Amino acid sequence: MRLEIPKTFPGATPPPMTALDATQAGLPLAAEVVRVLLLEDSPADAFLIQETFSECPGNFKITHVDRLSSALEFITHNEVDVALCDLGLPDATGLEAARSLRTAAPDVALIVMTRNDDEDTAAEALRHGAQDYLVKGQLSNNSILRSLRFAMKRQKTQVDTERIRAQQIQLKDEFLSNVSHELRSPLAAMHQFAKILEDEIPGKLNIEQQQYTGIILRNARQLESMIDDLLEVTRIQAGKLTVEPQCISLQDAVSDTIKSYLPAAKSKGILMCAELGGEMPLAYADPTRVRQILENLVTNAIKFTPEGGAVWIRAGINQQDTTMLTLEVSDTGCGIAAEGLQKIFERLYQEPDQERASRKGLGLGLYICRELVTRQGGQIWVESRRGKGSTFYFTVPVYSLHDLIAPVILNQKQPPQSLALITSKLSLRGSRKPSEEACRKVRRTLERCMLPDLDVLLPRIHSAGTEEMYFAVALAKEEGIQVLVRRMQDQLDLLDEIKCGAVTATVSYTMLDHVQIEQFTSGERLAQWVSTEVGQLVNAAAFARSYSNE
Amino acid sequence: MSKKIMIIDDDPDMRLGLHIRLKANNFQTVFAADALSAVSEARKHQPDLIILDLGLPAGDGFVVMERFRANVYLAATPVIVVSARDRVANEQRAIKAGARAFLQKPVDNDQLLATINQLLETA
Repeated sequence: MRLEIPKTFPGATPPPMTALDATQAGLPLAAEVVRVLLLEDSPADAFLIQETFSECPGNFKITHVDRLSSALEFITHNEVDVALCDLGLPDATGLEAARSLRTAAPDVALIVMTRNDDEDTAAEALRHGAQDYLVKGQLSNNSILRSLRFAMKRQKTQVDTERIRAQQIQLKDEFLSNVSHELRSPLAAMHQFAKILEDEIPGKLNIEQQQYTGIILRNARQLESMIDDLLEVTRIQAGKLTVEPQCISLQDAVSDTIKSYLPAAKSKGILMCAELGGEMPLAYADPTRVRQILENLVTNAIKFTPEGGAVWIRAGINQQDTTMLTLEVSDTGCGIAAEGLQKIFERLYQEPDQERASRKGLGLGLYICRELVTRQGGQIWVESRRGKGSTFYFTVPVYSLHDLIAPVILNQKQPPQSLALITSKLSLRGSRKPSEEACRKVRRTLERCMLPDLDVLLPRIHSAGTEEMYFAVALAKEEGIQVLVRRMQDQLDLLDEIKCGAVTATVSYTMLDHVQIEQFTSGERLAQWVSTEVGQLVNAAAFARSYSNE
Repeated sequence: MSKKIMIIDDDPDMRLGLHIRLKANNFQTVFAADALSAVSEARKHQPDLIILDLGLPAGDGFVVMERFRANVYLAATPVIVVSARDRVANEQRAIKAGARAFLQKPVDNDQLLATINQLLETA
């Protein structure tokens, strides 16, 4: 890149900066040192820029580096006020330099330097966090000084605003979390005593008393779910919403939802049915979250559907994209006006004329649904006609063994010679299911035993039985696998639940046929074969388990 | 003989509510209303299981669990935390502090009883 200094400056030349301008712009001038990091690979350009600086009034301490790597190294270990960054470096392409500097030092003012004919890149750099840009060939001590001053001022304002915003968010989060705690305590007592009455612990209730107790409980539950929504939104905004995808059957999620909402639908005179698309593959999603989304949609559907109407839940493979499964909840309710269809998933949005529903709610449910769906890799949308009803759709990814296994196999320089499927079985004494906490601990323990680029721990297979199984594919010869299996067993034996004898854990393995493996020359075909083989083994194990549970 | 459960909660309504529920399921109950008396009362009554609220006067549930763990007579007694505080922020912390389960208020009675029975069975 060559720097030419034209005799006359093209474009509007800024008027010379006076000392008064400088103080107004808030730049420490003669009194303080401005620390400048100059990232420029061309020695000639760097020289010219430094020359220009030396003609500027003010005290500059310039550090010149010619590689992005050295700039990043410098900026993380030294105090810098402003970075001047060239966009044509040998170790970074275009905007990458600007982006990396911005990430490494979010508080430093950043100015990019572009060639005469590349204002588009400059504009793009501004979008990526640069405060200003300078066009090479149009540099003068005035323009540099002015740019520096404003970049630093702007950066300071930005950092301050960001800090204040972060403080406010934290305050709000703490407030909401406190409020919901304070609201929950009296609610807990109300709920407890209404439940004591309902269960007739103090004595028999007559029909009317039963009915009223039911009303108290229903309202307490509604209040509880609103408090939960408030907390969930706080979590979304703090980036603390957790989603733990695993291998689940959507049939279960749908039938559980139907089961728990059937009484409510019945009492309102609404028909409620499910339609499941025959042979449906398993989904890769968080079962609790899928249920939460369904419950939210079904609650709305029942709320807005008049007596004699119907609510349907359907599930099946997505016709457009077969790697996704679609769930839908449709109703014969009042429908949504066209203007509302887009806005309905926004936070706090409420349909303007909801006179049909006696209570409006907080306007958070669908927003939470959208966040939960997108965080699991799906989409949510709605189709509706005023007066006819609405259908809400959301998608979750199909569980694909191949997608999980292929990256590890393809990553190897040469195809592996042998590999195995390791099965860890967790069974509880008695007929109860292992607790979520125990399952999570086991997963974490197994994860610790594995090498990230040689072993794959498959997602948890959602089960309702008294046994929990974990599967892992490991790339190693038989001796290596034996070592791994022993390590897993030893680590699992250290868990409290296993030490006290409440849970038994056993680890076993199956070698996949290595004669077969040798036949594959392409990694992709091998990955395909492995996922089919593993799939069969996993299914066989899961089938044996569900059979033994019955 | 029926098992003895200690309820540590500063809210008298919560204590009474849990007492009625537990009594109906053939448990004996004893109480404490603050972090200070929790340990001495527990030493006196030697409960089989403890239901503990997190927000307590004179300390909090975490302080109480720490004292239980330091006490040779109470260290092995299973503790169920029943709190109105946010599950996400407190469950892991409570388990680390020695609780065997975390239940969110308003507590689901079936879940509470199932947890109690499970812990008493394995104890």
